[in-house]
Amino acid sequence: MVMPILRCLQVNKKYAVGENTVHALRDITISFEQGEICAVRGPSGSGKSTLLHILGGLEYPTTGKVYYQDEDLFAYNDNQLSILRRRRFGFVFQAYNLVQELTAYENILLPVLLDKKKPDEKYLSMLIEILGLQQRLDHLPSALSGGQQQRVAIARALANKPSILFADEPTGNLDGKTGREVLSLLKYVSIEMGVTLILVTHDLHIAEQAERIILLEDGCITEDSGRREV
Amino acid sequence: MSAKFSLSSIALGNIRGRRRQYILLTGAIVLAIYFVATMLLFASTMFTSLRERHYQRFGEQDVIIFNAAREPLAELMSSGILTDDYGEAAIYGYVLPDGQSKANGFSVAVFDENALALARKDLLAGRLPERAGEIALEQSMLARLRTEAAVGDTVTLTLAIPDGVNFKDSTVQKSFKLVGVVSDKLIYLDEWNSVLPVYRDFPAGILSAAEEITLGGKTVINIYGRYAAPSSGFKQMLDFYFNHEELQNEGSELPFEDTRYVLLSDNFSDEDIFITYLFLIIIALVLVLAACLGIINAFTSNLEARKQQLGLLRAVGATKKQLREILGRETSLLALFSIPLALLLASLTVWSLTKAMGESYIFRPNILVIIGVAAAGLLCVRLAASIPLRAAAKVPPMQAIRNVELARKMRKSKIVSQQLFDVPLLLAKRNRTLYQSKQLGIKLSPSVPFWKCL
Repeated sequence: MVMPILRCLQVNKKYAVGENTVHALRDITISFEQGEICAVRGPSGSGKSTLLHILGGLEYPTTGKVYYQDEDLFAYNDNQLSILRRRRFGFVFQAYNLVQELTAYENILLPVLLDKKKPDEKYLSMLIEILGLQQRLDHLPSALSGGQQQRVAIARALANKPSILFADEPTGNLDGKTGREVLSLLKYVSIEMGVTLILVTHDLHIAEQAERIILLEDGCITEDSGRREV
Repeated sequence: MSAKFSLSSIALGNIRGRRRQYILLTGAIVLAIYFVATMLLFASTMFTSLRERHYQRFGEQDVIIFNAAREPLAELMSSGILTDDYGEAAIYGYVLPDGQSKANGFSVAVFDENALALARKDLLAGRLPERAGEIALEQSMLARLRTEAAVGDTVTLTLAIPDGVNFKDSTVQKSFKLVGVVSDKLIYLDEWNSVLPVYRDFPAGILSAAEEITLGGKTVINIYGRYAAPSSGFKQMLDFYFNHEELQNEGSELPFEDTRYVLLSDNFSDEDIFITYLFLIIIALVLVLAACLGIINAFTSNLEARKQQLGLLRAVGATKKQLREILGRETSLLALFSIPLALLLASLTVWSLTKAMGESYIFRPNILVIIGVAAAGLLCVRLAASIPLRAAAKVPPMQAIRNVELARKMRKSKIVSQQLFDVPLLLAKRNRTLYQSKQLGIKLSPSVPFWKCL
């Protein structure tokens, strides 16, 4: 049996909204293998993004545990969690979330710099070439198209050679053609680099390109296809 | 591709990308520091001017000891009450302006270098005497002599000759070449203590060291000195006087004159002086506090606008320490620009004010004030930036990115729709309700100057 790289046990997440409590996630137990490409699908408000953020250590669960390589993620202190995020996890957001004041290249270098490491020029050049960003490196994000910004965000997410890539509706702000291109790139780089890709989407067509599809409804997993050949 | 990319690049990029916000922030810092620096520099200029005016009138000495060669006053010089750089003025005669009475007279003396410097006999015309037979007089003394003599003319003086303690009744006539005119001191010192007997006068004529005392005479030595401990020197002098009964037999006058500069008149007690200084320090601290609040407000609104960026940096793995480092570099860059600018503007303002107030006010940039304000300003800016940053760094990354915190606060606020409303008034009220936590600094800021007015 393959050892899961990431797993969560009995994860619950509750938000207080005014006098009401929203139960965003209910008793989620799930695990992911190394190199797996998994899509988390569901309607708006089903808790997909919340699950992704908890798996990525960006938000704390109300109850439950998340293990990365058998280490309890939330037993780490804030500093250790930040270091783990920049070394082992990569994030791609729907709204790109690039630092607007930095050029494309500087955005890509950001996690490497924060880790106080010397950039691996060879690896970065390969990444930039795969993502077709050679001509855009000295541009500020505002001078880039949505597709280009998302490609910069992917390059940034992969700059530190992470084990897991979290993508939250990565094609949500893109037109159909660009969205397909970005998705192909995500799949390509995760297969090439052996990175686990956890993708959140509400789009069935996108989800169908993943090896595994998890359906989330009202904070509960209602369907898990398991890993399959695509 | 940039060859060197560091945390400073992020800080510079932030400043570049948020130029307008940073211009406003710089403006806020410059204004805050400008007001503090202007107040303190102006106060310092006033103190300097008052002290300089005192020195111009009375000289820089703290005390003048009369007839100091006699016992037991000679002990004073080795008692440690005075500093070692005291000066001597050897009195050679007492000028009788009408040739007979001592009224309106003055003494002439040979000053050594220290005494000349401490007595501040600033030259107004000509030079100081270098040879025997030359004299320099205080400006008003020419009027006392009822002469229109100018530099280069000869003046003939009737002198009472000293006998080492007092002046003899016998007089001599001596002619001197007037080589210089120096600033007045005697008229001010006379006002300082008008009860002194005239023969203990403060010498108003300067002779050269080559001058010889009239045959049969013996000089009277006056000492110009500074207290080793300025705050307690006068008390030590009094103690010395009261410990020597032989000095007290001479009458009620003290054998010395205390002419030291004090910020407040001698009618003020030590406690009053302490309270005054304390009051000035409190005002300065309140000003610094007001400046800090202004800077904190400016930084808070700046950080509020970039919360998303901070959340994003946290999401890609920046630790809280790294965020503080990035903002620390930004604030250092801001401070490097704002603080010198504010100090320059403050110096220019105080310089203009002192120019407008007249010649008796002298602007001398007080290095201690400038260094103090610069250091306090830097500390204030770093502290002001760290307070909102600490709060911002505590927000979980995704909350910051989506600004969930604000959305939640807004959801919690009890808002009831109005059917008819005054738009600006309602918006102002809503802002107060929705952004309540951000109003604290703004509420405190105006209250500080108000409190100061009270």
